[in-house]
Amino acid sequence: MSQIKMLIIDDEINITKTIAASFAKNGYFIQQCNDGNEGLKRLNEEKWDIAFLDIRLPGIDGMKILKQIYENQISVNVIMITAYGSVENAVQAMKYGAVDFVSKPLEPATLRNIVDKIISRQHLSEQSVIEYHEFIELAKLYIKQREFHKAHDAIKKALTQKPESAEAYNLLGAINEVLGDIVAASQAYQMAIRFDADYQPALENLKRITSMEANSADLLDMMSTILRK
Amino acid sequence: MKSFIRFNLRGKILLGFGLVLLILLIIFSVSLTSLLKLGKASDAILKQNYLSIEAMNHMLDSIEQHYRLLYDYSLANRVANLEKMLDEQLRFEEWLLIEKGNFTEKGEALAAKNLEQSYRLYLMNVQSLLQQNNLTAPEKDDLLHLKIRPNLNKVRQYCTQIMQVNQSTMFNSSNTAKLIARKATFSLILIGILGIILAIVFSLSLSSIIVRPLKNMMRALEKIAGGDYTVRIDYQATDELGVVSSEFNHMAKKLSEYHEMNIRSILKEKQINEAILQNMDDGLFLLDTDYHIAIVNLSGARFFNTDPKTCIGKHILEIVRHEVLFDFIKTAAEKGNSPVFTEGQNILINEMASTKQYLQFYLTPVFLQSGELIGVMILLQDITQLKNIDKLKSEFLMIASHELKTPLTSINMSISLLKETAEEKLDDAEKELLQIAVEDTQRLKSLISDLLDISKIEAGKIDLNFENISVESIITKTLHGFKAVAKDKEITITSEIEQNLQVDGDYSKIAWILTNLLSNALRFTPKNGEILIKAIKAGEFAQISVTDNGIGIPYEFQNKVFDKFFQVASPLNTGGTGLGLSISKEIVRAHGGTIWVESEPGKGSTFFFTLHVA
Repeated sequence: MSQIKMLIIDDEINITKTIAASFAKNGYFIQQCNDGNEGLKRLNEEKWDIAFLDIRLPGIDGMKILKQIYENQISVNVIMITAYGSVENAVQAMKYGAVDFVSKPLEPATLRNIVDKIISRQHLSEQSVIEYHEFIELAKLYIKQREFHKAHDAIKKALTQKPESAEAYNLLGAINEVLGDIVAASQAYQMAIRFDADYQPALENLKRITSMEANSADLLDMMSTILRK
Repeated sequence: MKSFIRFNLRGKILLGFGLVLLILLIIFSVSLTSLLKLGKASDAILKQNYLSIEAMNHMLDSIEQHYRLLYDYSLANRVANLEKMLDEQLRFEEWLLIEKGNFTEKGEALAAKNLEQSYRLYLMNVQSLLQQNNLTAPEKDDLLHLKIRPNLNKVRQYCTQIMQVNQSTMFNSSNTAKLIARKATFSLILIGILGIILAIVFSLSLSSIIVRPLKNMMRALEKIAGGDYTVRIDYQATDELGVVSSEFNHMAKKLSEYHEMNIRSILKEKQINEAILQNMDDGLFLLDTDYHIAIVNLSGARFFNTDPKTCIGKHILEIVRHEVLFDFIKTAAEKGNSPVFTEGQNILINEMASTKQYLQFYLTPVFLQSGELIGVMILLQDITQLKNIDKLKSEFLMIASHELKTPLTSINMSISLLKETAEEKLDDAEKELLQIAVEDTQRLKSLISDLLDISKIEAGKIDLNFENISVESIITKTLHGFKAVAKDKEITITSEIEQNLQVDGDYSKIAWILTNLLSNALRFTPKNGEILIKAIKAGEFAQISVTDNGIGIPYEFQNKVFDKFFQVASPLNTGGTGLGLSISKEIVRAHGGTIWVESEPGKGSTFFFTLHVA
């Protein structure tokens, strides 16, 4: 990558400003945008490497923007900003290729860390990776590219490196869900919780998936999405 | 009053017995007279007749002998016969004398008189025969046959007449005796029967006379025992039973008055109860053992768009279609105790009202004093408003914490960024100020995070995913995260966990509690301190405890530590939000367990919590 191009979409000016300030020394090209529709327009018009996207936006919300990114086949690494501990619809977001999340209140160090990871994962290839976190990053890269089967394999490999990783199991669960295997997804989430009882993303996912099983409307919706693929 | 008693009970009984005695006496005297009569007839009279007959026999025999002796003497001149004749004469006179003193029959005296005359004539002729020695044989024979003989025949004739009279009398008197005996028998039987009948009738009437008031009294007592206090005994007599009767009536009257007073007060009480029952805002149902509605108040019926009259007698499910409630009712009736509900378990969402209604229910099995179950009482409280307020509060908490997050993010980011360059730009005092801002931003962050947690729990948003959890494994895993901190503070953490102890619970929530308790213990335990985690099985519960030898909790605060935002003022107590134990309490309660603390200030604290064994 030459100069990293970063777009920050959040309706709060103070947030976009402080996020931008966090990367002031990195020499990135950073643009701030405080309106969802404006943000989507800029994503369509230009090529961006990284986009911070607030899930809750007035007008058009983050998920809709994400859907547009997916439908318009825009290649960008999206980092979702959420006010909750986790994204309520992380799997849906993942389906649209978004795999990185930060939650409020934000920390400059966390933001830098995640951006660094994204940048470094671009160079990863199946042949070169050997370590656990590399496999995870690779999987995320595949997810961004919507290569879910490859992502699935990468996670499996990550788990051979670190079989007690709640993060990896949660990711595996989400990928399984995207692939339509609810049972495997549920098992994976349960494994995640088994290894880290307090791992919120897995807890939320499991809760959602178990309540969804009873909700046939949601299930039908999901089945049709999978069939359309 | 007693002086007026004419015939008391004793008198009546004596009178009764007296009468029977009288009857006995009559029977006795009648039979005695009959017997005497019979004896007289058959003995005295017959004896006399018999004597007369005997006399006649002797006299006949004697005169026959006399005549024969005379005849022999006259014709054969046997002088020796004279003496014998005298003997016979004496014998005859003797018996004649007896007969003369023994007249019993009519005409007997006349016959005897004639007999004696004839005998005198006979003797005169005999005398003349004996005195005329010169008579020839034919003369003698003539005299014998013509003078003596007819007189002899006359004597014989009278004798026979007397004998016959007596014989016929004997015969008659025998007949009379028979008749008398028959009469006596008959009259005795008659009197006996009459006596028996009289005795029976009298005994019966007497006993009934005595017993009737007693029976009346008995019946009256039974009625009183049965609750009929209006009963009175109508018995006017002045005997002992009369006294008892009037005393009884007096008692019944008093009882009746007392009862009426009681009824009035009970009625009043009942009306008060009824009024309370009908006017209370809470709904109340009393079900019988078949789960049919026995009692329902107005509010209870109104909750389900009906009225009490329609409800009575119907099955509870016909009125309240709520299977969960019904299951609890059945359990309460079968187990005979009020079910213990976990948070939110005893809330019924009533869709029948115009707006959605939240009803909180309480169940109580109702027993009689004898221990017999008569049904189950359901109390329904409309907590819709509370629920709405609670929901509002939770929503407010949630929104507030979310809204707080955005400005907090800006502040946090700005401060963090400033801090990155603070080293070269700021002096020490300014750096300290910045550090304060950093620290309190951190505190604000955890406060908001805890607030969110508790608002979620309170809003019921955190569902519990129940599963079997190995206590040993969850404790070991949780402890793992504290190793570094414990090492830093040089605190030893030991654990004593019962083997194979499994609980039913939500893994992450229980881990959360353990984490909270352990971090508290670490926070309040000075360097070189000790922390002990213990898990034992206590009945149906697993009891897990975290003990430290830290500063302890002052007694006055021990029951407040589980309150929201409560913090004991202490230099060690910094950075906490005052919500951790409150959240722990909510989680334990949601599991149906309890949490408590035992602490001695200066010596340390032990926090306990219990969970259902799997």
